[in-house]
Order: sequence, then C-alpha cells, then structure tokens
Amino acid sequence: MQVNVALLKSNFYIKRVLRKLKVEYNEYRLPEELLHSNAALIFCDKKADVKKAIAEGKFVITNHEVLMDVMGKTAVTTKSYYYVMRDFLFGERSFLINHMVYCCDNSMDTVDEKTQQFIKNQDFIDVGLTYDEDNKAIEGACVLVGRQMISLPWKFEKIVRSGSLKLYPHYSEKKDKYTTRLGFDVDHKTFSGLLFVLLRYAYQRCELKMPDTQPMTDSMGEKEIAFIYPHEEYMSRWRKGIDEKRKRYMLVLSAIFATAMISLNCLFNIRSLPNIYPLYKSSAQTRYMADFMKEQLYPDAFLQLLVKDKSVIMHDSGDEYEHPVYPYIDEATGKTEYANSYDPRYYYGRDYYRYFSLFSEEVIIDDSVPVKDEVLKLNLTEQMTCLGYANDMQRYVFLLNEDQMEQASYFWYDYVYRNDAAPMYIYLENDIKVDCSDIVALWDTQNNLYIMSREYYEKEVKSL
Amino acid sequence: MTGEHMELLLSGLSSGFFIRQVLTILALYIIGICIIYSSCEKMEKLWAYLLAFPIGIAVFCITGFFLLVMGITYSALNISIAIVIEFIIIKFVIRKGTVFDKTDDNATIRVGRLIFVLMTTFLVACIATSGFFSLSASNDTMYYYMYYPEIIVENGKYLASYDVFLTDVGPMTAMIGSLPSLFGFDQIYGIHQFFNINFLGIFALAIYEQACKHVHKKYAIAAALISTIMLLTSTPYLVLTKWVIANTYVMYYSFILMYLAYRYNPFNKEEEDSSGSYLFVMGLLIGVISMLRMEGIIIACFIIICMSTLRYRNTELIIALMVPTMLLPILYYIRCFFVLQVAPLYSFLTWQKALLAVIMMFVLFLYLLLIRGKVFLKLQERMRLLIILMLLIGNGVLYFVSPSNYQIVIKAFYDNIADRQGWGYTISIMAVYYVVIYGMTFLFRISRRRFVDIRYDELVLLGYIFLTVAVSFARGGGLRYGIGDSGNRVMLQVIPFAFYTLICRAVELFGGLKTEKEEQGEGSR
Repeated sequence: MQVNVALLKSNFYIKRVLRKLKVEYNEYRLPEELLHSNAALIFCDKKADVKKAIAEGKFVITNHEVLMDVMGKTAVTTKSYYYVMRDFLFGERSFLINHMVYCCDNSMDTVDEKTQQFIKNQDFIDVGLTYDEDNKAIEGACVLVGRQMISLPWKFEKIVRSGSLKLYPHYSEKKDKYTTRLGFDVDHKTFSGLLFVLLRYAYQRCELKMPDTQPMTDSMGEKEIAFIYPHEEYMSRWRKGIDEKRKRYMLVLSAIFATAMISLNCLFNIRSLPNIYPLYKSSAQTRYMADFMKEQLYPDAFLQLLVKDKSVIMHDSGDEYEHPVYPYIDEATGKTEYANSYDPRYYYGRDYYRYFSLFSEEVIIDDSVPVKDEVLKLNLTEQMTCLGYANDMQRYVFLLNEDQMEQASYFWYDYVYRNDAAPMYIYLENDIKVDCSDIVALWDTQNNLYIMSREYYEKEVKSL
Repeated sequence: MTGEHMELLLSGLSSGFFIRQVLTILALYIIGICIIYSSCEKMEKLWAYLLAFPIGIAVFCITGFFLLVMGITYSALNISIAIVIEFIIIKFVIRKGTVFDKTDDNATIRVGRLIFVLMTTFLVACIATSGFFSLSASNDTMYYYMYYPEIIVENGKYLASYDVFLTDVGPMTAMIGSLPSLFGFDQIYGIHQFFNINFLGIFALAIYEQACKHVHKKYAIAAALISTIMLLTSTPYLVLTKWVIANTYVMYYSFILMYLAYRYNPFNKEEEDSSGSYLFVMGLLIGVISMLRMEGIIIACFIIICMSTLRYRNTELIIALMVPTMLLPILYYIRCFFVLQVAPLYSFLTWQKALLAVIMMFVLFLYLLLIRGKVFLKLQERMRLLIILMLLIGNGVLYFVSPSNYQIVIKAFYDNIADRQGWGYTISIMAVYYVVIYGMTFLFRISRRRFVDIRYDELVLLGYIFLTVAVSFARGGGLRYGIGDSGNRVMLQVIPFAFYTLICRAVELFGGLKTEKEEQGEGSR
C-alpha cells in the first residue's frame, strides 16, 4: 500500500497526531532521506533543500525557520501566547500556545531571483496570527499556506504532549467572565485540530483521499470548492472514538458484572440460602405443605383443612373455668373495684372448643368421650403421628375470643402459650381417611390434642 | 403416618382448589383489564396487559377494605356487587365516553387479541398455581396473612377481639389473604407466584423502555433480559418473592407506581391533558400501598413527595394521590380507635402514631396546596437535593434523639448485610458496579461539562434507604439480626429500585448521557 506521508523520526508530536487521524507514515532519520522519499506529503522542520522536493511535485509542511533558510535569512524567534484564526476556508479557531515562534520576514530584497520566483509560485496566503501576552500581534508569526507548501511559526519537535502546567485565563460563557485555571502551555486539542485542517488541505492539493473522512462541499457561485469546518469535524471524530471506547468498556464491564452477579448469586442461593431460608413446595394446593410434617410445623393449618365441613366431637367446651375475680380498692376514688385474676385453665380446653367451633361444621359435646385424665392413661401418643406444637395454634385463638376482659387479649394469650404452658402437641390418627365425616378431638392433662375419625375412636380407643 | 399418605390426604382434602385459584386469578385479571380500559383508554396494550393483575388485586383490596371499614358484611357476593358498581361509576360517570380498548384495529382483532391474552393468563395462572415453584412460609405468612384473613371472612367484619392484628397487620395484605376463604380454596401461593411472574414482565418492560431512549432496540432487549435475570437470581429478590409476606406486595406496588409516575410524567401540554387518565390507576396503586403494611402511609407520602418533583399539577397530586392516601388510613383509624376502641398493650400502631401519621399527611397536603410551585421557587428548583438533605438531617436528628438506639438500627442493618442475611453477594457486587458506573458517569459529565440534578430514580433509591432507616428507628424496640427481621425485610424491598437505577445509568453511559429532560422528550409515549 502506498504511504503518502513521510516525516522525521524526531517528530513525535506529529506522529501522535497522525496516528490519531489513522494516517500512515514513513519515518526517516535525516532530512535528506526524507526529501528523497516517495511520499507525496512531507513534514520537515529541519533545515533542508525543500525547494527541490517541491520541484519534484511533493507537498511540504515545514516551519518558518526552514522557509527563512530557503530565502537565505534567519528567522527571528519570540514568545507567543495565543493564536487566533478567522478564515473562510480553514474555519475559526483560537487556542493557547505559550511557546516560542519563528517570525517570517516577507521582504524580498536580499533574496535571489530563483527563490523569489519559487515564493511567487507558491502564492502564499497568511492564515491567522499569534499574539503575545500583552495581546499584541506578532508580525510574521502566522501560518503561511501555499500551493505546495505550508509553513508554520512553530517547530513541531519542540512541542511536547504534556508540557508544563501554568495558570491561564479561561473564559466562562455561562458567567460571561474570565477566570484562571491550571493548564498545559499548549491547548493540544485545538492545536491538533489546526494540524488536521492543514493536513487535509495538503491532501486535497496532492489529490489524495484522507483516510476515514468525508469531505463536505458547498457551492460558491460558479466554483465548487472543498469546504469543511474542520474543527467540528475533527472533534466529532475524536468524540466518536471516545464513545466507541466507552461503549467497549461498558460492554466488557457490564458483561463481567452480569456474569459475576448471576453466577455468584446462583452459587449462594443453591449452597447457602437453604440453610437460613427453608423452601417448600405446595403441590397439593393446601396451605399445609407435606414437608411441614417432617419439621412438625404449622399443624393447625392441616387441622383447619381436615375439620372443614366435618363434625367435631369433644367432651366439653371448657367453659366451666373462669378467671377468679378479686376485689381491690381504687386509690383514686377509694371505692372497692373488682378485677380478674389469672387461671390458666380458662384457656386450654376452651380455646380448642373456640377453634373447632369456627372451623368445623359443628361441635358436638359428648359426655361419653374421655376427659383429659382418662385420655392421659390411654397412652395414645404411640399409636398416632405427631404433627407438631399446638402452642401457636392456641396462641392465635385470641382472635376468636370475644370476652370483654384484658385476659382475652393477645398480650395474655402470648404470655400463656409461650411462657406459662408446656409444649403441647397435636397427634393424628395414622390412617385417617379423607372422607370421614366425624372427627373426635381428645386432649390430655398436658393439653396434647388427639385427632381421629369416629370409626377409629369407636374401634381402637373406646375399647381401651 | 408416611409422607406419601399425608400427600394423598392433602390431595383428597383439596379437590377443586386448583381450578378455583386459577379462576380467581383470571377474574382478578379481567377486573384489572376492565378498570384500566375504562379509566385510561390511551394506555399502551402491553402495559394494560401487564398492569391488569396488580390493578385487579388493588380494586379487590380497596373494595373489600371499604366494606369492612364501613361495617358492611365482607362476603364474596357483596364484594362482587361493589366491584360491578365501581366499574359502572368509572365507565359511565367519571370517565364518560371512553372507548374500551381504543385502537385502530377492527372488532375481530380486538376480541381475538383479548381472548389470546386471557388464554395466556390462564396458562400462566395454571403454571403459577401448579406448585412447581418453591416458596417459603413463616409465622407471619401462616397467621397474619392467611389465618387472620380467614377469620375476617368467617366473621364478615372487623371485631375488637382481633386486637393487635388490627394494629400490626396491613389491612390490604389481609384482603389478599382472604381470597382463598372467599372463593373456596386454601392458600394464596398461586396468586403470589402469578404476581411474581407478572412483576418480572413489568420490570423487563420498564428497563426496555428506558434503554430504548439511549441504545438501539436490540441492545435494549438484551439489557431488559439480562437485568431481569439478574433481578430474578439476586438473593434479596428471591428471598422476598419466595416468601408469602406483605413486603413483596409493597415492593411490587411501590416499583410499579414509581415507574408509572415517571413514565407518564406530563412533559408537554398535550401529555398534561392526557395524564389525568393514568392518575386514576396511580390513585388505586397508592391507595393499596398506604395500607399494605402499617408503615405504608409513610411510603405513600414519600412517593407523593417524589412525584411532586415531576411535572404533575398540584390538583392532580392532591385529587388522585393525596385523597386516597389520606382517606383509606383515616377511615381505618376511625374504625379501629373510635368504633372498635382497640388499645393493645403492645402494638406497632398506636393512636398516637396514627395521629402523627394524619398530621404528616395534612402537612404534605398543605405543601401541595399552598407551597409547591407558589413560593420559594428558587429553592424548589433543587427539590430533589432538598429532599435528600432533609432525610439526612432527619436521620441526624434521630441519631441525636437516641444515639444508642440509632446505632443499634445501623448495626443491625450492617450485620444483616455483612452476614448475607437475605442479601447474599448481591449488595457487594452491586456496590462495586455502582462505584464504577457513577465514577464513569461523573468523569463523562465533567468532560462534557454537563452537570445534572439528582435523577428521579436516584431520589427514589436514596430516599427510600434513608426513610427505611428512619422508620426502623421509629418503630422502636430495635432491630434484630436475621433474615426475618422486619427492618431487614423492608430494606430488601429496595432491590428492584437499586437494579433499575444501576441498569439505567449503565445503559445511559453506553448510549451517551442525556438529561432527564432530553430523555423524556425523546421517550416513546
């Protein structure tokens, strides 16, 4: 592939700019080698016979020191502060460049005829101007653009990417005032923009196509000329590059994040979560899940389901127990008042009755059913399946207790069934059938509840 | 008794429960569709289909709640009659002249589409109810949200004997729990799972819509899919959704309302005129939120404050959101503390707290009526920042009120997160990604010199966290270590918001940052 650009190895700054613009180039150590190269466009900022190269049809981008040398003069150097350009072809730009500049002397008095002709042929136009710190224009420190040559007031070799940090004025459009901020001695971003414009001009002059660019044209009367706002074009390309990079980073980051999130969570959910958070399956459409039986959890959820639409037979409703009432003297009024004391027997049997009254079809009180002392002797626990604690079931019976007293509140129920009562269990007949119509409920002195079908009761328990 | 015998027994005892639960889901879905189409005809089809179930449940809950607080017998028949009356009122009085399913399609296509949607709903309901998905149950599940509602149905009214359940159990969640007793089945596991599936669809669509504003459609689909999988597999989300508990519904309804409020934020005059119709749906949602849990009022007020930073008119916020937020709790407090005269010895909700909540709601009401957009305009320009600052200051005040209690709360949160009590690795990975994303966003904004206000989703997320800490402190009694702690569960609710905000920022960064104004201007409506 033909490489159109050549430069000196020492032009690091230009190389960097070219790389960003995706322009390929060849490097040469000496200016002579550079001028003899096949490239159509040459960056040369060391004194050399550029006239010869131009005569061979090459385009040379150089600086005023070289140009002055061609004219047999010595370029004067001074310090610039900023550069301003307002040009129709090259656009408008201004940027900070706190750097040494070469000034070009345009007098032709001492210049030989051949060189005069060469300069004339180039038909130089001056583009922009540099200013010093006192806002005075520096004469001759402009960019000269010719037919086959561009001469800059700066020496590329001396411009380094980082440079030194200094305090500079900065204009805030929003506040409409200048502030001071820390910055490099060259506004590299805008300077690169200028180089791009000039490079683009050189490419057009050489009738070459710059990589990855779309020229914009605009009609100027009869003549259609190449016209671009290079700074914007350049900046949009620059931003596009940043955007692409950002997108790539984002994709990689997001992929890492998503993979880590999903895989680590799955690992935790499978390995550790079941230890602190048991999960069950309810394939039977019931609140009570089959797995609850193993862990003896929520037996009342099963009981509710079992007694639904069935009659429950029990010995008594437990309503013979009341909280004892005792008198006391109200200190405020001095009168005798009455308050309820606490009798735990008020709760146990009566709460079973309350529970079954609500959830079963009907509760049948049958004197022939054994009382709790007799039930204890029957030793039913061995013949039946334990479903779990009944304490919680009993604790929440307060919802059904409409007695107007403090002892009927949740506070008391919580105290009784959590702290006062011993653990009470629910036992179920092993082979109980779904279609049994009557359920017998027995409880012993420890308030363990035994649930069985009437048939089982008649056959197995009554006879004991 | 063997496990097999127990399973057989349970199967025998539960005959017909499956189809009844499936049909209940379908009925709720149909109620939702009817209410949506009769109240906001312009709602996009996909949104209408996805919101139908949550709205159906909301309508059912609010209706049942009204019956109970008004002392009317709570039964399936009365609820059904009330819902039909509501529908007629909405269709022919409030939103007179609306067209059911307003699209350009002809009647055959519309009917065909509706049948297809209902069949899909039926299928999903069957899968959700099948028992294929595992779940978790606790004392709260069994007694607060299934046993208590069953007793309400059996008695048909609120009774003073419900005691602490009236002050501690969210009435709206109890309404959901009463569905089995009303319609002849035993549990709400299928309904719960259906809601889980439904919510994933809502979340995915929300992410897709937001992503579409920044990236190409195919990337938006990928973002929606991946983020939904991430949400689904994240431990906090899994813990809450597997657990049949009120927090799940609070999380779902809060997210839905927060997102809808942002999505239907009236950005120009034309949208301002049509936003009113969506506000009816939002009013239903906030009504449910206010009574799903006892601290629901605070969440509802917080949502209204967040919505006040959007472009809704004061009258809209007051009529559509403030009125249901105030009306439902006040009616409930009257029923509890004046009619039933409930005064448990220890309870979450006391009459003093209820009074404080009412005062808080009135303050918010007065802010909307007298201050918002009228005075301190310069200050109100930075309202989101102000809200966050106020929440921070509020937390600071709580700290100075009782440093030891506040430290206990913070320590409990820290221990639960550090020991992965319901959080798993989610929060750690998320924290890293948040730092990266916000770091990049910050740099990107600096490079473009684009500094923007706190975003709406950021306000919701940050505000929700601060609010949860404050509410946990105000609850009293200190938090405890463990997955099941109430404060921990409330904090777990933040997870969809955290994912949503994170994914939105990542997508924005991928597509090039835009301001909220630009986004809404370009957003597909």
